[in-house]
Amino acid sequence: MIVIAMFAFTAAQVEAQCFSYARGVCKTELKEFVHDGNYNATVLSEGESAEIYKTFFSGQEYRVVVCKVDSLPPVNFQVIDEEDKILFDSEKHGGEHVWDFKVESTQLLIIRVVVSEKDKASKEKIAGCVSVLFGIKRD
Amino acid sequence: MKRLLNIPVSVVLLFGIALFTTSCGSEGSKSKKEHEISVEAAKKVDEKAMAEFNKSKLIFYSLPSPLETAMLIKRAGTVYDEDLLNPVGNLSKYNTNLKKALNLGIYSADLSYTSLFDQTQSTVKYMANAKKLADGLGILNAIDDNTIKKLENNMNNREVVLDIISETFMNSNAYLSEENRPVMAVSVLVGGWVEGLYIATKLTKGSLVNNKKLIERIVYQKLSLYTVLNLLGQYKSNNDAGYLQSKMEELKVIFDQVKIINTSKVETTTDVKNKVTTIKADSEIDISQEVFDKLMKKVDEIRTEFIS
Repeated sequence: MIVIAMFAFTAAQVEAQCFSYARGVCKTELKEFVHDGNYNATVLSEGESAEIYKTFFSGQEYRVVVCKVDSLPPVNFQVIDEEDKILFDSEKHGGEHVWDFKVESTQLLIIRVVVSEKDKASKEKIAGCVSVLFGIKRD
Repeated sequence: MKRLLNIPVSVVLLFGIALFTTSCGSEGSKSKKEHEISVEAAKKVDEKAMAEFNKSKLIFYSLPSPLETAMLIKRAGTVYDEDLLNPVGNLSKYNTNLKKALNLGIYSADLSYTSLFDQTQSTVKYMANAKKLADGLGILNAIDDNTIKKLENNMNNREVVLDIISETFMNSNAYLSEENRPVMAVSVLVGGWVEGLYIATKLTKGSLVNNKKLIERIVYQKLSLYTVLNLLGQYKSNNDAGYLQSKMEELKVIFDQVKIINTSKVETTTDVKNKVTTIKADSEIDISQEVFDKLMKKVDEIRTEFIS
């Protein structure tokens, strides 16, 4: 029972810290873009990946910010279209974690986030908060 | 924080599964097949990408937030119509958690709409209603008295107002996720999305030609509907999610008669000076008056059910 309680407490603590990180650190990177209000953050470990499906509308300029806590190894992200064509790859842009873009016609796009691995052979993997936030350019 | 980040991956994965399933309008899974939308997956991936693809992966679906929806409506060149909003007096009707969550989303959409049209008095009223519903759902501190005061003090500063709305929406969403109440979090999003669709369809006054940009916005909500259905599908064993899914399926029957055809491949060009990439692609939409009438009627019917 105590173990379960500790487990639940720790899980809640991790999630709360992830929210604080997303709000306190990641959101500031949106700068002149207004945050859309959606909260996308969670704990990922080395080698894990996540995908976010989102519709982007024509006439809007978007900023996507992908943040990770310092202790995690580099996190790369790709923006992919419905046919799996890679439209942006942060690894090919010096590990950039912010990308501004607009779409000429409304598109459903996928943001794929991958946490790299420091040592692929190691069984001990570091985990930490990764947050993906979207901003919309103001008028 | 650091201590927690170094816990073994097996433990983290257990946490991860629990946490991801609750993250804001999103769902977690280790199986892509369960979550396929109408997109044919992975045809052109290179070996490296495929290697990453095959690793454990989590899938999330992000709906347009009430704020984004309101921005889309405003930027389509529409006018403000207060009569379309859910009356603030309806608040006392919402006695179940589902109704509170749906109408938190609905009032959030309404307050976003009022703020973008600089209807500051209404914005404060709708924020007050959103606060009461958030309190009713036990969402602590998402919207506190200081939020209302800050809003009142910045009524003439739209940028600050938008930031306040964005912040409160994020707080509510994150709180419900943290508290492992994903169905409530999704219900807020669905309520906001339906309200946006309701306002947009009503603003057309039933015409397909008066405001083509607005019609285009509405038609492309077909893509968002897939997101909604995928989100709800994760929780279909829950009665509330099952109910919402059945409502969204009714909408899908109509949206299935709407055509969105991509007529060119997607290409990108980057403005190096301003560091902005444009994603270019041509597409055509097709919706008949008959289908649009059906859509308007169905959206009205669902929204009426939500706010009653």
